[in-house]
Amino acid sequence: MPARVLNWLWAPVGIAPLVTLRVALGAVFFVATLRFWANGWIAQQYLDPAFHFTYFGFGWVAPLPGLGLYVVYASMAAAAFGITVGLLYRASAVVFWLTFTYTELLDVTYYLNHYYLVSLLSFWLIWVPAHRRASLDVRLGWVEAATHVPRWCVGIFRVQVAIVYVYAGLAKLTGDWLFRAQPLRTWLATKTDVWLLGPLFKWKATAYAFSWFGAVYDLFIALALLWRRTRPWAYAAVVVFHVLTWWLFPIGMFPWVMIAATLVFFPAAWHARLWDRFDPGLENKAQVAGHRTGPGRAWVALLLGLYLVWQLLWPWRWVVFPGDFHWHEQGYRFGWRVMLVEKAGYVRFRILDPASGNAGYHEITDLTLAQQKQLAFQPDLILQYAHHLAAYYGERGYPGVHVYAEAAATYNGRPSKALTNPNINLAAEEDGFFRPKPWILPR
Amino acid sequence: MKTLHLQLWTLAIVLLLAGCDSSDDDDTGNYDSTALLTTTADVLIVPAYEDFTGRTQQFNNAVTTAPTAADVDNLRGLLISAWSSWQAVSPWGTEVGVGPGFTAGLTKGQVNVFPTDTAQIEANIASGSFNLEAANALDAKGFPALDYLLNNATSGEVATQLADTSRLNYLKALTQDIATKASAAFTGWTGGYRDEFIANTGNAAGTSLALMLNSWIMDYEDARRFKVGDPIGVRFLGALNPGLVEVRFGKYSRLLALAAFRAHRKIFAGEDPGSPNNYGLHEVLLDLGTPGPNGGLLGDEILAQFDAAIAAVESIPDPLYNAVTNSTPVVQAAYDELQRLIPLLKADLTSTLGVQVSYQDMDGD
Repeated sequence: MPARVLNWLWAPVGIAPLVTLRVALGAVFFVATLRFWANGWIAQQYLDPAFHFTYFGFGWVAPLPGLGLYVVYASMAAAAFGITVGLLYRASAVVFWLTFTYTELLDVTYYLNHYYLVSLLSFWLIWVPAHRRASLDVRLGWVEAATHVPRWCVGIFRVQVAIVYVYAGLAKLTGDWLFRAQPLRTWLATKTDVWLLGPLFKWKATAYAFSWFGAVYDLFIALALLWRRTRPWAYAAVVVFHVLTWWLFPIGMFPWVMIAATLVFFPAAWHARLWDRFDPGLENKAQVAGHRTGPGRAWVALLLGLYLVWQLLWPWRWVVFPGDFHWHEQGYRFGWRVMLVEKAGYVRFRILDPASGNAGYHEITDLTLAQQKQLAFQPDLILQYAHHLAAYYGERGYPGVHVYAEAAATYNGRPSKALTNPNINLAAEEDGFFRPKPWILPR
Repeated sequence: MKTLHLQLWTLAIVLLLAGCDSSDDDDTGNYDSTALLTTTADVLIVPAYEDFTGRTQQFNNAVTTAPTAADVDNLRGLLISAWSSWQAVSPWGTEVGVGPGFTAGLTKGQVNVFPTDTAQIEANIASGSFNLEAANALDAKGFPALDYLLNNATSGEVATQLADTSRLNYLKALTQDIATKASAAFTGWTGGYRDEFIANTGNAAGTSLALMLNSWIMDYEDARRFKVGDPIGVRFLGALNPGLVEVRFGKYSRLLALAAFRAHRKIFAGEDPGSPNNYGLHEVLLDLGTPGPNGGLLGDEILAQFDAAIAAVESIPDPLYNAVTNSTPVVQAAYDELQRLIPLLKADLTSTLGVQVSYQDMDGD
């Protein structure tokens, strides 16, 4: 690692942006956790369903029984609060990251890009000394106050947020988004009742304008936030854009996560003006938190480098799968592809007992409506469920049944079309990293 | 940076103008959601509850002491009338929970669980003390239990059975239970919920559109499954079981199935014969211009499939109980036609109207 790179990464910058980020993100995480609880989603999404769709390689992650999951959420809320006020900060960050990521791994049904983002952001909160100013840890004398942090501590958040936007923008450069204004056209057509803006949604031009503005916004907002002269306007655009999407679509906490996270693009001096009110006179002390010399620097640099390579490459893994990956969804998740598709589907499973030749259809009774909705158009979930059914019938005296899926789905305003080959026994098909699923029919 | 922005914007506008298909009109197509909800309430739901309330009250009032064979015949006719009327109410009585019908307990789980548990019914009658609201009473009450009580023997023999007052009391408790719930549901709709329903526009979870669509489609799936699929063993690897038909003793299951599927068709069409100005889902889809999977308009394709499914059910020889064994392929064919509607409803229709199945967050940007 060239010394110049290390020196650049470790050069001291003001701590204030990190403090703002800690407080803002922590508060959003705290509210999001309480909101999740208050909506009854702990029971509804994780405890009530008898079956859960797991992520490939994480099949062992299951909801804790009884009160266990409530303890997890209580810890998560407490940890988010700890992050916000800077109390037992490192432990809080670790607990939040662990509990949040654990709950997100419980069921693919509820996968959202912004949950993934929260996992990534909270991971980095663990490693940065965001509690070294304006925190209870400092107030209580557990850690010393600091004025500066190494550059990478602020930089990693800027890079992460920039990746999210730029990749979300690149993902919008599709024929459907740009030249059919889909799926926004479908969605806006059902929103003509909305106060004030509703009448606009009757025109196709509105859907095109929203689509193109959205793509340009995503591609260039990070640049505009970085540049001093455009920054205030860019931040105003962030607020307007995300509040608008929050108003029109049921997207939960995502707007507030982004409105909080993009604050990190403002310079240290801007943030310092806020925090100087809480502990004036600190700027004369000039203390760097998280300062390291020697091999420690190189290890952190290596971690950062590997992380960035992963973040930059992982969203492109769809290229190894033939066909339209928006349709077959292989390599689709974890790529900042947001609001890109409108799909609804229906799937039913034919069960054939090869021993007797008897056949019938399974009626799904152990899934919630939300799970069934996602199952209908996501092939990896269809495969998981087919295996579940093979086991289910096996336990009931029909070992080795064949399971065939008959799935049909709509896709961005197109009529429904068969998604799976109904003649391939899915009980005999395996999932795997980068293993193509030839039983998915092309669009 | 500034020039780059300018260039991109110019490019964007040029591409936008080029990209818009000029042969299309400027409208995205949109529909009148208030008219749809008004039709749903005033043409479909409230009249269904009104009819059902009248018939169940008439039925309940006709259960009097010491019935003769002629009285039993009369009660049987009233059971057919009330049970047929139920089929148009059932779509609003699912666990999705649409309005006062749900809160009054006028649900499929309370009034139409079949097969009925005859042993439990006899035990309840013998003990004389029973709680119809208990969970284990659900398959010992409602229409299928009344079918057992009134149709298990000739009308003369049933009249003799009903000379036992505890048996008659049980019969009365069952008719009273349905009539009370029906009346509460109807009063709830006319006493304010109708306006609330129409005012609750939008397509998020909990809006009237989401409630009515989810409840109706769920009931359609149930009707297909319980009325036709289960007797021919679709869920049981093809094992035939005629005892699972809706009207096991009275043997008019086909009549009720047709009433149900015709009610479902009417919900989609939104129209009463002779009132052509009603605005239902069919017209909504035509207004939106949504294409269907067979190359036509989705609205017309769904209506045509309803007609095909109803025709296929009509071709089942009566009674269904016998057809299950004697004409299995005909019943299977009817099931398949009924099944063909489900992707159209659950994928195409739901997608077009953008309704949420449950309250949760989706992916933002």
